[in-house]
Amino acid sequence: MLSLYCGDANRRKRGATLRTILLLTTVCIAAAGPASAQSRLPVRVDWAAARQDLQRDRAALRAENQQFRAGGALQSELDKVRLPVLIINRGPVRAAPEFRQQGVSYVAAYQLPRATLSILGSATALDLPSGARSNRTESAYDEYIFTGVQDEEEDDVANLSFSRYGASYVLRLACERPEDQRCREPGFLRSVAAGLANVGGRP
Amino acid sequence: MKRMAKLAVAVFGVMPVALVAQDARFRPSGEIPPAQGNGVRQSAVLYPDMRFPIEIGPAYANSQVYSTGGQYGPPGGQCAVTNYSYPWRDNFCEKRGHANPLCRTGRGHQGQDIRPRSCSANMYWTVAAEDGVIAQIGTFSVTLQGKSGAIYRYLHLNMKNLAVRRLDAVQKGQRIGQVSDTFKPGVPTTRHLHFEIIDAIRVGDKIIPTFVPPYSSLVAAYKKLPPEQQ
Repeated sequence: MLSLYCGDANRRKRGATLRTILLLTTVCIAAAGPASAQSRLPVRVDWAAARQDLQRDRAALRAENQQFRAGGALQSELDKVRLPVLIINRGPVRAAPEFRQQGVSYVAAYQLPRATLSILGSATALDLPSGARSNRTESAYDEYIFTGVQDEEEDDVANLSFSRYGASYVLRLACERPEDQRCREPGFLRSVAAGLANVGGRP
Repeated sequence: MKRMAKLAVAVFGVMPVALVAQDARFRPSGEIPPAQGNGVRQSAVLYPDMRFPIEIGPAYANSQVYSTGGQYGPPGGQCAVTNYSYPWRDNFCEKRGHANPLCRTGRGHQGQDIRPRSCSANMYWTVAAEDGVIAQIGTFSVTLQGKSGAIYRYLHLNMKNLAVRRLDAVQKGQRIGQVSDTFKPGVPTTRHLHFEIIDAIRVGDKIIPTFVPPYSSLVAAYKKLPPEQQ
């Protein structure tokens, strides 16, 4: 009887242990879930500064850009964009863009002599997990980051990226000829960036 | 009982990681042979809804310069069986001269090389990773701005037979261009898709648009293809 009782006690212990293991397994697998889905978050746009510049820039818009803004359909498109819409208003490019908006992003595209230029704006950003984060501090990043089409680069498009009003912008210049200096040196795209005007967008 | 419980916690606490870990077809992100670069391991799927950028599988992600037939790879042709086999390998931070702030040295590759189903040019279609707009067409690349704001780039396409034009709206999975080996005049490359993502990341209080590691997101997207295409 004693041995039977002890045997029963051991079985009860094993049963409890198995239940514990099963419970923990369930909890662990549930907690693991799919590979971690990283959050994409809206950026914090400085709308006060953007509105101030909008007022200033509106008064100084070139004729082609005034025409661009004047169209009723375009104004409704601009109102759907959740970041300040920057287009070219000074410098080497004199043309109005073709425009596509996607709510939190937009493209303004220009046809230039022997090249095409696109402005890509975005109102969202990634919060990278700690293992993927840059090991550089924010002070290590230039205000404007340029990559050209030099021989050692893999790209066929020159790129100038920057942040303004808390949103991110990328200028992309595709030149027909790889030796075109506009795509090899940062000067052209920097002058484009310096001549951008705010023409709309809303929180 | 308590001892067993503790043991169970220890064992099963790591089991989910082990279970997820290693599908032998995919080496871990950031695992780059020391002579080929200095990888950064990150397993987070940054783009969980991304469509795999080649229309049909199987496909093989590996270096085009350090694999067989590559500029720094073992001798042989680009069509070597080893190049069209598993396992996949991340080559985002492989040793290159290109600016790449998320790599330890600040330089590396800027995307992921992916070979299509077979060693043929102009046969396999690349497709939109996300709903978006075709923002730019270069001499050997197409740039897609996703609706989210992420920028996807497809390099080395057959530019004579693109399925899109600049400023076209595209849906996720829609054809863009065929995998090929176009590049700068006089510069050879293999038949592969160089796929990269430019996105805004937070660094302290700043927002920095830069290249982000696509490998883990590509693995997750690839696993969504029909089983017979993997």
